[in-house]
Amino acid sequence: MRRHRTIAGPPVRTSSQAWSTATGVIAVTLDADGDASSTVADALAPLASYGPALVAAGHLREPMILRGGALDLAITVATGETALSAEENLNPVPGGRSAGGEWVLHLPATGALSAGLRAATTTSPHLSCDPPSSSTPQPAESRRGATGSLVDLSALDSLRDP
Amino acid sequence: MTTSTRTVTRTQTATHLSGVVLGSTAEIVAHLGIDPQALLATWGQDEKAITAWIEEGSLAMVVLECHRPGGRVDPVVEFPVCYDVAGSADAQFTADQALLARYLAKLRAVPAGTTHRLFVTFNGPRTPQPGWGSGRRASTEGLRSTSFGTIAGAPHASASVRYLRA
Repeated sequence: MRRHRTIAGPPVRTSSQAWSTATGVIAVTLDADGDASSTVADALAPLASYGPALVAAGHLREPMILRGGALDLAITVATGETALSAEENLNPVPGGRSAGGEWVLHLPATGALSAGLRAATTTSPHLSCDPPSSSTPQPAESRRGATGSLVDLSALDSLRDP
Repeated sequence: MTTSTRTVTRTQTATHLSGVVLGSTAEIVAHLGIDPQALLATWGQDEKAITAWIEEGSLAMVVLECHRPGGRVDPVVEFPVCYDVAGSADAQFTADQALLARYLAKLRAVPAGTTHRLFVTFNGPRTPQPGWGSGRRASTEGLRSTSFGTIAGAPHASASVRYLRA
């Protein structure tokens, strides 16, 4: 059974703080007893520079999937209006200990940062930019909300080369 | 009769805008083919500084300059911030990152070896922030400016995007 956790990002907390909170949930879930915290932190270290940028650019509105043993956890970071009403549960997710050392965090690799992110994840066997085998992504339209465009599309068109 | 209240703060506005502006900056840098590591390495420090300056209302604009190996500065991306002194509790925290992605798709990569510099301009006195010192922007003379509209909105301020290229 997939469990879900939502972290409130900007404007509730900065992107750096939101990333730290998300990795904190991962750490306590995998290591509820606290005896392997440095191992989990080391495994997540390659993401330290990219994580806050992923939050700020809105990429973590798509879930990160943490898999291992009986654990199947989807973590999203809400931003904008949805962050204000996000219901957070930062407690360890049941099943985390069953992962032992065999866990993988699957990150959404979208946008221009994806190439660098992929390179960063190759440094750890616990990180991946590939989706887990049976992921069932939600329709993108349902997550974007109903806000209209604020960008001038005619200005976009003017960028095209003659 | 049912009533509801909504309390938003300048801190929330500043946190939201700094996140969207920095997130957009990272996307633009990476899309142009510039290694974003230098930007990512000082992320926390820059985010704190920009948030503080927007919260106090001193920040006028965040500027991304791309310095090509030959010395030419092209493109330049500006993120002007407009303030609503009174604030509007009804205003939403918005971000138009999806359309930023469409806009990025039209930009060409810069030559290998291009680096970036991040500037902030001010509209009045500001509180000094760690890691930031005085600097001089490159001239934008001869660059064509295109406005893309508002990329982030919030109750007390909004940020837009302006793209300048040769």
